[in-house]
Amino acid sequence: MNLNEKVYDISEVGSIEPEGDREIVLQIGPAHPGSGHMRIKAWMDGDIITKVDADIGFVHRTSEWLSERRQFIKAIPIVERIMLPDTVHANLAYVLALEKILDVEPPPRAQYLRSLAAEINRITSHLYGIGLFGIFLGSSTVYMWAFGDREPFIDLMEMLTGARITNSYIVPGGVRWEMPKGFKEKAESTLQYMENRFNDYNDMWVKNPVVEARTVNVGVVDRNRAIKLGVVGPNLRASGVDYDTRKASPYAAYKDIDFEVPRMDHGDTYDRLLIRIEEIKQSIRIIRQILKDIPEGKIIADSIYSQLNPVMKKVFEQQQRVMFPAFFNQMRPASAESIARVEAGRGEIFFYLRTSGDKYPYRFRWVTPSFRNLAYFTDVAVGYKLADLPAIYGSIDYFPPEADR
Amino acid sequence: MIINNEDITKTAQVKEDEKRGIVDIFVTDINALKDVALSLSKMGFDHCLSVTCVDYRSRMSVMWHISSYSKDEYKGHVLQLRIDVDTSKLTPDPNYRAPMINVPSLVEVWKSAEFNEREAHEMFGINFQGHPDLRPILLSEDFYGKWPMRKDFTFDKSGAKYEFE
Amino acid sequence: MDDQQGLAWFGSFEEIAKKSLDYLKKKDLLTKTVSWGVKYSLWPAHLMTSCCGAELAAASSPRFDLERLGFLPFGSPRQTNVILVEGTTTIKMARIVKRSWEQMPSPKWVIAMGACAMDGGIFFDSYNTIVVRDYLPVDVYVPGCPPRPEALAQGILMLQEKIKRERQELIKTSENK
Repeated sequence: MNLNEKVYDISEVGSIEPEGDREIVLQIGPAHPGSGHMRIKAWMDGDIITKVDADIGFVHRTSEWLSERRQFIKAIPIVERIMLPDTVHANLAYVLALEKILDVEPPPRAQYLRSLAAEINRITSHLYGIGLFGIFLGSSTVYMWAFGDREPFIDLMEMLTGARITNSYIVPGGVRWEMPKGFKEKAESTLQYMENRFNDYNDMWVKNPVVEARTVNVGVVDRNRAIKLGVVGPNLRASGVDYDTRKASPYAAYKDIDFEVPRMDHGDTYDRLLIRIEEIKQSIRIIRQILKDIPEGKIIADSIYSQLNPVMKKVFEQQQRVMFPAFFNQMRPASAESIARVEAGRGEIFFYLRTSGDKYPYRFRWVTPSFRNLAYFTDVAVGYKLADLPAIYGSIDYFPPEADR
Repeated sequence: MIINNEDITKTAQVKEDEKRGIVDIFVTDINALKDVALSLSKMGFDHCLSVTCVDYRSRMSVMWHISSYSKDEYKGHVLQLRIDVDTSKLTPDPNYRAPMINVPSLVEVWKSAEFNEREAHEMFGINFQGHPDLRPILLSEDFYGKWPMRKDFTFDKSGAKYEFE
Repeated sequence: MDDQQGLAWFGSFEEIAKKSLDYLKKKDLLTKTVSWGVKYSLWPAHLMTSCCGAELAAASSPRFDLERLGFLPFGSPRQTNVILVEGTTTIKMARIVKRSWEQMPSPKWVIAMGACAMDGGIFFDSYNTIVVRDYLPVDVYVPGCPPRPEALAQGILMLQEKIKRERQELIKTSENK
């Protein structure tokens, strides 16, 4: 093997010469609402897309590199910032990976509270996706509706955790806050409100002939192709693959909860819209179950609780709020490696954590759903018209800061 | 044990850690990597979650995390296909600050590894031989060739100057 | 009524023009009208730089509704007069932001949203990020990580105040010359 072989010439970056006489190259973005922070290069033959290349990395904030320079507790905010609509899931995935190394098992009530926060977060994440999909199809009404309906759920999160979206609610060994008084009633009224709204969405948006004309049979991906491309989340299930991390390797309280994994068969843009609405319905069902079945008990594991000092124990008894002593910063987990998988709103998050006995992670690898769906996007748009590109891009629910990390 | 296929066990060391959910397949011979990957793919492990490296200074671990969508019995497992490359004896590369490491690419086996391998190439300077497109993906051109995720990468924020067109 | 009687619209054309100009100067109506018009036509370039864009989207939603302040994102930089930098900018994105800024017609302003845009925030020691003041002249900073939509609305109100003050000062100084 020649170790000094040069594989790539940096001067070739950005060469976008068309390949044939008939082709032209369109550059879409990054300063464009249709692409967010991504530059899409589309090779066109007339009106038909022949090749798509995605130039990403406009939001690459080197989060993996930074998290290897932070103490374990302080890595939680960085993990959250990369995926703002899915903060609870990102937080949960990191904490699950860390707990496997620390060998801490949270008590049942904390597991249920984690699932509760995750499901509320999933609803807000899907409403975010549906709203932006509306913008991509040129319907600002749906954007207004979905973002307006997202606010009551964000209020619920604010009541539960104290912050709108960057919650930092889940900590090693449990959660930070007890469920506040009056939460169950407020949650129930919010869920009822959302259930009533489904009819409006159906009449105005889902059953709308214009939407159907623009989305049905556009961007079709069959089952085998979806598996080959390694698609995740709702996009995978829209192509008919029966896979959900909550069922495949259950975490938090999902082992005890009864729910279905919705699935579509056709795998076109319309199915990817429908499946998000079906998942919101399932999330509502899960939240109802959690509120009914949630067990009594502590919200933090005994091994963590016993390390708190008397003042913090008193705060915990009076306010049901976990405060961590400063020596948690100096936490030095044993040298080990672990992985965690969590089903976030946009798909499966995969974290690989390697510790070396130091107070910083030795290697912390993040693979986010949008990054894995990127292959999907560059593959699926080929063969469709340029006018279909926004519809396909919007339906994939791509969040650029999450893909770039 | 979920891996009892003889094609794999004769060239790789399989270690299962049930508590942390990792099945580690350590391939000692770099030339056998592709065969092991192909037999895993035949077993039903059909997609790649992540390609990543860990820089242990004297050696570099390259690992492919794979799982299955189609086989029910494998859905809950994540396999970690791993090879180690000795980096202590590499000669410096005149074009770049640190030498590249040559490793066979597994894009032919798992298409979903394509973007992950591009990222690992850019961050760790790993030359995936047989990869169709190893352009930089995340960073701007200023950093190409510095391999920022390696442990010997240093950076002085206050002295950094960037050119604007 | 007395005011209007002072404006007798007869005599030579030059006199009338001079009179009416003096009247407008005394009342400062032109300045007020122009700055009033500009401050309710803040059209930011639709240029998401980072994750604070999620809160900008929430701020445009019915509950907070930034459009009532005349704040409506447009697609092309040539139709806009504000750049809203949402959070961190990477080196790669900063070049795009700078290019968009150069394409925008004057007068134009910059709002830096979030802790990362102010001083690096949580990503302060990253090798791939750059703070906004290194490449753009910032008018208003909105702190928070991410700022709540109310904070963003407050930032826009502050920018409107600044525009009002700035334009009046501009016209006063040009008169003195």
